[in-house]
Amino acid sequence: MTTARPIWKLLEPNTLIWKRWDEGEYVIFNPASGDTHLLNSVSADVLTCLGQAPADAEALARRVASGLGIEADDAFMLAIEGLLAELDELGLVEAIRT
Amino acid sequence: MTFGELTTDEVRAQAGADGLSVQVGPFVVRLRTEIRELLDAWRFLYADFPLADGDFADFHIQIVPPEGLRRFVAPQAIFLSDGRRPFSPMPRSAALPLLEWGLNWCVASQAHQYLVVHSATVERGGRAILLPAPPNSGKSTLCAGLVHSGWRLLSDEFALVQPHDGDLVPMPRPISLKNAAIEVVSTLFPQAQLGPPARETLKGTVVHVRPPAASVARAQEAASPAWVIFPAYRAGARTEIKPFSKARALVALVDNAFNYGVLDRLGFETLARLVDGAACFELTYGDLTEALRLIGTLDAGGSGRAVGRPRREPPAAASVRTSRSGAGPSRVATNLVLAALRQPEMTRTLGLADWDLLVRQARRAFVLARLATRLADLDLLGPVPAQARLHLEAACGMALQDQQVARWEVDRIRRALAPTGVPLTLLKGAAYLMAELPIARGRRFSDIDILVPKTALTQVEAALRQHGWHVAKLDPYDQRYYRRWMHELPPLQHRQRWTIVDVHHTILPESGRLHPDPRRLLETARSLDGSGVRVLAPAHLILHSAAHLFQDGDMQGDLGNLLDLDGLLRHHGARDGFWRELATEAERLQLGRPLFYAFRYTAKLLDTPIPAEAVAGAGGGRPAWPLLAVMDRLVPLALVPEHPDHPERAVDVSRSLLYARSHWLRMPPLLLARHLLRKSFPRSSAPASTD
Repeated sequence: MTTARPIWKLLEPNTLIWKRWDEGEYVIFNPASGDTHLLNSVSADVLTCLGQAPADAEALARRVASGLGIEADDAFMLAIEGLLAELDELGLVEAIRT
Repeated sequence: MTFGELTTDEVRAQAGADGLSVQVGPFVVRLRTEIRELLDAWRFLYADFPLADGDFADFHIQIVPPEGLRRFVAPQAIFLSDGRRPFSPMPRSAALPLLEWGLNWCVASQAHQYLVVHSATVERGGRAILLPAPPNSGKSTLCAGLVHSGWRLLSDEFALVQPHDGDLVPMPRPISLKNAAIEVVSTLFPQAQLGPPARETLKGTVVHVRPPAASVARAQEAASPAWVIFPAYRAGARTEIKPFSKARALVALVDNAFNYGVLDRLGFETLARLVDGAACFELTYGDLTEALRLIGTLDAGGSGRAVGRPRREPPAAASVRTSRSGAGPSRVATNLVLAALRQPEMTRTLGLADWDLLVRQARRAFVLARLATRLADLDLLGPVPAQARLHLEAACGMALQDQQVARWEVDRIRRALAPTGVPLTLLKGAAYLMAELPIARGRRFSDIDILVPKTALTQVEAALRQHGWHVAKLDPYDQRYYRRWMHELPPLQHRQRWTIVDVHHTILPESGRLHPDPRRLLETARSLDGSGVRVLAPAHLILHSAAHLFQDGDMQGDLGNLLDLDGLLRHHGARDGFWRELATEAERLQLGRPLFYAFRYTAKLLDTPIPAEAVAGAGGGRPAWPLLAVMDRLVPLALVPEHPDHPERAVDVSRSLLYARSHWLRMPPLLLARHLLRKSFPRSSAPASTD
């Protein structure tokens, strides 16, 4: 097992279909799985950031926190890691191990 | 002419013979039954519905009593559609709810020209309300209240959304009320016309409200969705209506849609547009009158628009009409599916009544999508009458959904197994799909079959369990049986996606008579570029398919498997040295007998071109003539779909014999005796621990 921190990327970068209304929630459709997901704004930010470039959890947390105007402390880091694991299980992101 | 204009005798005569065809919204429903009280109740509830011409029906429904003594003792009713039986029998007194639920099932499982959402729908001034909800949410009570308060009934059960414009197509039918709701509605709206109560249903007492004649008369007028209201009845709760976010409304509509996956991206776009154009609310109610008042405050004006039904086409001049009545059609006439698969061009000559039969037979044999794909490839879908074409296109949609799901599952399995280092080798349908073989087109999928070395089984099962698969409900005996005697683990089902993976370590049961060496299959498997998966070598794909059909199964409903063999042989047959390689591998893997049968019955039934020297080469697998004579009689009977309305006794007998044969081939006699004894008393022994 490698201990290197994984780099995360969007599994299907260009195929996700987004729908957004003014209420701060997003719905995405993943044509690869046929699944539809309801996202809050943090999850949407994570996917948007990964859509721009693959990143590790720490860099991602910093970028998302800065967009939200908050500090990327340990708790936020842990939350982002948990979120990535969840998005991985849903088949939206995947880890490229280095 | 309307249903109500027929006399009781005419209704009984038609329903007891060819069937009674009624236009229900956009669909023609043909009912055959001899249960008089059911016909009387249906006639009352559907009195205002137009009768349809008899050539083509979208849904063929039969409600029949069981055979034998059950006909007389605690009599029951059975729902059948094209020979399929999706529900357990119900008491005969519940025949009407059974019929209505069965019709719902037909719409939800076949009407993929629409996005079908589980929702009551009503309209006023051309603007419609959707009331999507799971069962027991008070949806029908609310619907009945609205319909008796000036709203037009579109449907108590479905929102049929047209993908091209987002409008709702009406399908007004009786409103089904249960238990306490019956008194609430009949007290508040004494003008509601109620059918007879059915007291012994799975859902308690059920009564149907006759749809207003005005709603039935306007069944061709669509309406635009203006509001989506998610209702939830709670006894004693304060009645309130609150805005609901559009994002959540979209996801909740997805949850309530029956065929969202079939429509794929179009389904998402249709619902997104619907939500875009509608105001969304959630309604909690404990009081029907107050709920109706609150909904009334949302109302505004608008106008309805007409919705067109595909034009009814006259039968083609060269129609070879088949009879539906009398002594029953000949076996040749019932081979319409086979004829259409062998010579798709012949479908040009079919009239509407022929298409009616062909669609039903192909659906029953699970080859409707394959037939549709074949016709589409040859540019033969255009001439198909519109009514039948809708069913062919719907079947194609379902097959495409299956394929999308299968591709995604392969990817998920690949991901789960990656850390183990065990190569992922696909079998059967998943292999054809990922190898992009022509036979994958239009093929349906029920599960994913994979092959791994026996020594890696524990590791593979652990990896799959870690990613959400688990052994679906099986009793300890079945679990033990699988692990000790079968060629695969018990089926593993994913907890979220409900998909099933069958993990094989060889291709025939270990308890059986033939033991092809799986190491040979794995050693020669081929990697597919870029996908991280492997498939068996071409000869092995064919031998596995043949072994599966002729050595490991009872062949019931296996015309699709024969089509696999036909397609594989045609696809690979042109390659130099292929037939010799096939014969050599068959001998090496002890599969000469299944290969002999594969050659024989693909050629006989599907005209598969097999070179004479290949047939001669497979002669080693030829059984002794008495056995071959029996198989020649049984196999076509089991594989060729029979007439849905005229089941043949010989087919039943043949299938029973082949079923017995499949068990005989699978197990030595002592094990078979023990297995059958255990299966005769499935709950007689105490639970045992799994091995």
